[in-house]
Parts: sequence; structure tokens; C-alpha cells
Amino acid sequence: MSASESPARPEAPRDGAPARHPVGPRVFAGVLFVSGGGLFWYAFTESGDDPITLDSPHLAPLVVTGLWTVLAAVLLVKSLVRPDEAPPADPETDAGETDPADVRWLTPALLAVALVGYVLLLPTVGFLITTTVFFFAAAVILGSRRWWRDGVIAVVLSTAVYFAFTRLLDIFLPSGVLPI
Amino acid sequence: MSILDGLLDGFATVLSPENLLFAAIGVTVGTFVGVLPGIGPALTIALLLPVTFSMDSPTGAFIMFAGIYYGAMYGGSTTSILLNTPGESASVATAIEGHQMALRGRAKTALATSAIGSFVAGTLSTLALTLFAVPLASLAVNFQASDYFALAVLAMLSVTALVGRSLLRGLLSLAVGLFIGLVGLDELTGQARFTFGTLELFEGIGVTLVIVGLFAVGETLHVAGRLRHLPDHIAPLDPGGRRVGWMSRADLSRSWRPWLRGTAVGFPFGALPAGGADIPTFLSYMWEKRLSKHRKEFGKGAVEGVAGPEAANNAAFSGVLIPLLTLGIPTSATAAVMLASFQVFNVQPGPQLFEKSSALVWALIASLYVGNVMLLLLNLPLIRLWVQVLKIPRPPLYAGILVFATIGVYAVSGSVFQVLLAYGVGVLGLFMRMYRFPIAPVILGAILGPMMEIQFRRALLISNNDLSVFVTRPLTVTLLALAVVAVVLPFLPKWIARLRGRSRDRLAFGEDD
Repeated sequence: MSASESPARPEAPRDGAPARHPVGPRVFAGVLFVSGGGLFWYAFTESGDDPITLDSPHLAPLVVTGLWTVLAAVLLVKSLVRPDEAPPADPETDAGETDPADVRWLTPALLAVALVGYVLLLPTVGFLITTTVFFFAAAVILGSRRWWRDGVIAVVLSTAVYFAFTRLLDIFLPSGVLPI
Repeated sequence: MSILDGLLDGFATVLSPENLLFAAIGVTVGTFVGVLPGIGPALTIALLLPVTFSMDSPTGAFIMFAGIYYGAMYGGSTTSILLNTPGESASVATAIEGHQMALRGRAKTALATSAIGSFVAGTLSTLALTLFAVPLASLAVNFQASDYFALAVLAMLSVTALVGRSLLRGLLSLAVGLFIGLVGLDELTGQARFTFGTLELFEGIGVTLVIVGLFAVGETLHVAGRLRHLPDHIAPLDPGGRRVGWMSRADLSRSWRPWLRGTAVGFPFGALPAGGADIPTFLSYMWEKRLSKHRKEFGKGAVEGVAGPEAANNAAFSGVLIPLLTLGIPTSATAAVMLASFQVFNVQPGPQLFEKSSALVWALIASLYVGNVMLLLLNLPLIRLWVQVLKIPRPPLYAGILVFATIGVYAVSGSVFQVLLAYGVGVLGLFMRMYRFPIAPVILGAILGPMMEIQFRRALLISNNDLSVFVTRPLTVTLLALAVVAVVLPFLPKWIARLRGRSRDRLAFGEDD
């Protein structure tokens, strides 16, 4: 994690090569700006005809979304005017290790799809089957090629968790189509 | 009840076989999950929250949480040292020096100085907590609505300004958190806000959901995109197969002063309502570097650079419990989730806590002492077991985290919508991590925002809508002034450095990396 180990950011010009400006940060700033503005408008319409006084419940939503929109606008302008100026790595997020340009978006996208499928099927198909299938699928998406190992872990984990939660801790988990 | 009576009662509660078992489970699970790379104490508690739902009394649950709280810290240090993946920013100094020590065949010394330092700091700062919590709580009884409003502003702004590297991004994160806190019915008028006509949003968005979304789902999606770039080399405990000792006499004599200094820096900083553990660990690191006779070793594995910050981190961790217990103000993500867990059991931290729930809070404090001893006994002798945990391959590990994140939210709410909401927060967390937005302000905004608004409106109600209530009470003014200082403070090193004509040096993460 030291300075000498962190990879050079591609947007920093090296050896006279032209700088590459990543689009991602600007798009994200734009999305934040638009969503902030939208929420501000929503807060405004939500207040209806009520007067917006200091003690009204409509004040905080307007202040917060207004602040959001203004800050996002500043960020957007900064990222358009000076796209090179990225903040240094934040150890909390550990993001300094990898540049956004090196990220493979397919893996998180597939994981997100698997997650949504998992929770949508959970109540009807049941915890045991969906968890087993999801665990296996997620491990494969994350790059594992040890099918047998992951399959066994998937079955053992979901069974152990199901019975520990429902029998020992009295927490409801859907049994779904299985007669358990 | 005197402090001693309270503490003795607390020990009597904790030392019952049942509660000792809870403490043992807490520290073991806490260490286990803390060792897993990428999982910090906040997520550990958030994921384990459902496990306590079936418990009849909150005492056992809190004893377990205290164990998890400390256990996750001890476990996190092991991961920082052996794998160089700090689970939270407060462990960065440990990751730098500790991992360098490990690479030079001194992993065991780094682990020992970190564990013993954590024990020393944990015990001393729990002692300070014992002594100061009650007097501070009785002071806090006099706090009024405007003071609480100012406290919430101070806590949010200082954490936002001091944690991240970019104030603009920090404030945006905070605004997102404040927005999340606004969703639902207004507590005073019952007015629906940002519910978009969805009944499920009337109750608001729970802090646990936000933490699980940001830390579990967001972190996993973030990791998924950069699997090839993750550190996976675990430094060996006994290089070359020959067994080495834990700490030599020289290591010990180089460590004990940093342990005490780290504790002295960490506890007061943690105890401030501006808190958090990041600043004291960083200060301790700089202090040790300045005082050390082995300054050249810093950056290449100096034992003082592990001993001091680890002690500071642990001491700040206990310090954070002071504003949490006496004021009900969380100043870190972990404290926020602790507050959420208190609320699950209908226990409201604040000045009255020591009167209303005296038995519970003393049992919690006593369990911190017991947990620390257990962790010292558990950590080093079982180090080979923890190294095995570190070897768990990433794909099934992260698949498991996603499963537990899903159950965590589903078991609490029984609602698919809430789980989808957590996933949505996770996707937001992915982009925030990617584009270097700090995460902690989101959580503090979500939990402190509603409190800040209620106190603001309450203060206005008392003063008949007169805004001067915020500038006439000395305590309120002082706290608000401190909030301004906190926002300006991060710029000071930069300004001073500019005056001196050099760029600032903030650990190894200079702006010109």
C-alpha cells in the first residue's frame, strides 16, 4: 500500500504520452447531479401548498437535496474543467490499489443480476435451493473453477444456516417448495 | 450506585457461565470475521444482528457484541499484518509497518506487539471509560435540544472532514446519508417524505440495511471488479521453516512506551464527539516516527509503528463508547451499528442510560475487560488457526458474504423489497468506492441526520421559532465553532506545507502518489 507500490494512474501522463481522461468520474458526478436535482424537485412538489417554515417537515428535505445538488454541480464542473485532478487513494475504501480503468465491469454486473434473481426467488422456491444455487453461481462468477468444492460448500452452508436459523435461533427462513 | 458497585455488579453478571459463553462466542466470531479480508467490525456486527433476535435479554446480546467489537479489531490487525489489506482506515498504519515486518520475517513480532498493545490499550481505556462515563453522563443531563443539534453537526462534519481525502466528496457522501435518513414518516408530524408512494418506505431505511448494503454488497461488488489486483500473498509466520519467537527483550523495550503513548492519544480522541480512530492512529504513527531512535526503519517495518497505532486504534475504539453511551451520539460506522443494535432491544443510549439500564451498561463495560483477556488468550496461541482462515479462497468467501448479507436483511425485515433496497445501496457503494467517496459519512448522516433535525425543530419549538437559540447558548456556540474548526483543520497541513514550500505527507498516501 505504500506510495512506491501503487500503480500509476493512467490519466497521469507518462513519458510524454497524451493523458487519458476517464469518463466514469464525470458520468458519476453527472448522475449525482441529476438525481440530486430530481430529488430536490420531488421534495418541492411533496411540500405542496404548505408554507416552508423553519419548523416544517419540508425544510430538511429541501435543504439536504439542495445541498446534494449544489455539491454535485461543483464536482461535475470540477471534473469537466480539470479531469486530471483525482483525489488520492482513500485507505478506507482501499480503492487506491486499482484504477477504475482496470476494473472489469462484467463480474460485478453478473453478480448483481445473480443477487436480484436470488432474492426474487427466495420466498417462493425457498432458502435451501436458492442459496445453494446462488452460492455456487456467485463463486463461479467470482472466478472459481473448483466446481466440486464449491458445490459441496454450497450445499453444506445453506443446509447448516437454514437449520441453525430456523431450529436453533427461531428465525424464519422460507422453506419454499421443499417439504422441510 | 457508585462506580465500583456498578462495575462489581457488572462483573457478577458477566462471570455467570451463560454470559461467559456469550463473551467467548463474541470474541471468537468477532476474530474469525475480522480476519476475513475486507470485513471490518461494523459489518461484522451488522451481519450478526439477526442472530441475537431470539435472545430474551439484551444483556447476553450486548456482551456478545462487545466481544465482536474487540474481536473484529484483533482479527483485523492479523489481516493487515499478514495480508496487507486493512479492513478500515484506522488499520492503515498497522498494514504499512506490520506488513513490512512480516515481509522481513518478523510477522510474529508484529502480531505480538499488536495483540499485547491492543490488550494494554483496551484494558486501560476501558478503565478510563469506567471512571469517566458516569460523570460525563451526569454532565450530559444538562444538555438541551440546541446542544444536541450542535453535537450532531460536530460529529458529522468532523468525521466527514477528517476521514476522507476530499472534502467535497465527503460532504456529498454526507448529503446522501442525510437523504437516506429523511426517507419515511416524519417523527414529529407523521408527514411522509421521499416514500414515492411505497408503503414499505414509510418506516424509513434502517441503518443496518445501509451498512450491509455499503459494506457487504458494495465491497463485494467492488472486489469482484478487480479480482486480479487483490493481494493474496500471506506472509509466513516462521520464514524458512525455522520457528522464531514472538518478541525479544529488545522488541518489548521498544514497544511498551508506544503502547502507553498510543493509549494516551487514542482514548481522548475517541471520546470526543468528533471521534473516530483514524486521526489518533495517524497521530500516534507520526509521533512514534518522530521519537524513535530507529527512524530509518519506518516504512520498512518498525515495531514502534505497529505498537503505537494499534494501541491508539484500540483505545479510540473504547473511547468512542463514551459519546455513544452517554450522549447517544455514534462517531464511527461501528458505533452507528452498535446504536442500531441498542435500538433493536429498545435501549436508548444517552444521559439516562446509566440510571435506566444500569445493570445492562455495567455488564457491557465489565464484558469489555473480560473480552480483552479472552482475546489475548485466544489470539496469539491460535494464530495458526487464524492464518488458515486467511487462506479461505476469495470466490466462496465473497459468495458467502453475499448470502449472509441477504439473510441479514431478509431475516430482520422479511421483505424482498428491503433486500433489493440493500442491493441498491450496495451498487451505490460500489461506485462510491470506485470514485473515491468516503463511506463513513453516509452512515453517520443516515443515523445522525434524523436526530439532528428533531433536535433542531425541538429547540425552535422551545424558543418560539427564534433562531438565536443556536447562538446564545455558550455550549451550543462552542460545539458549532468546533464543527467549523473541524472542516478547516484538514486544510491546515496543506497550507502550512505550502508556506514551507513542500507538499503534505499524510502517511504514505501523498497526493502525488
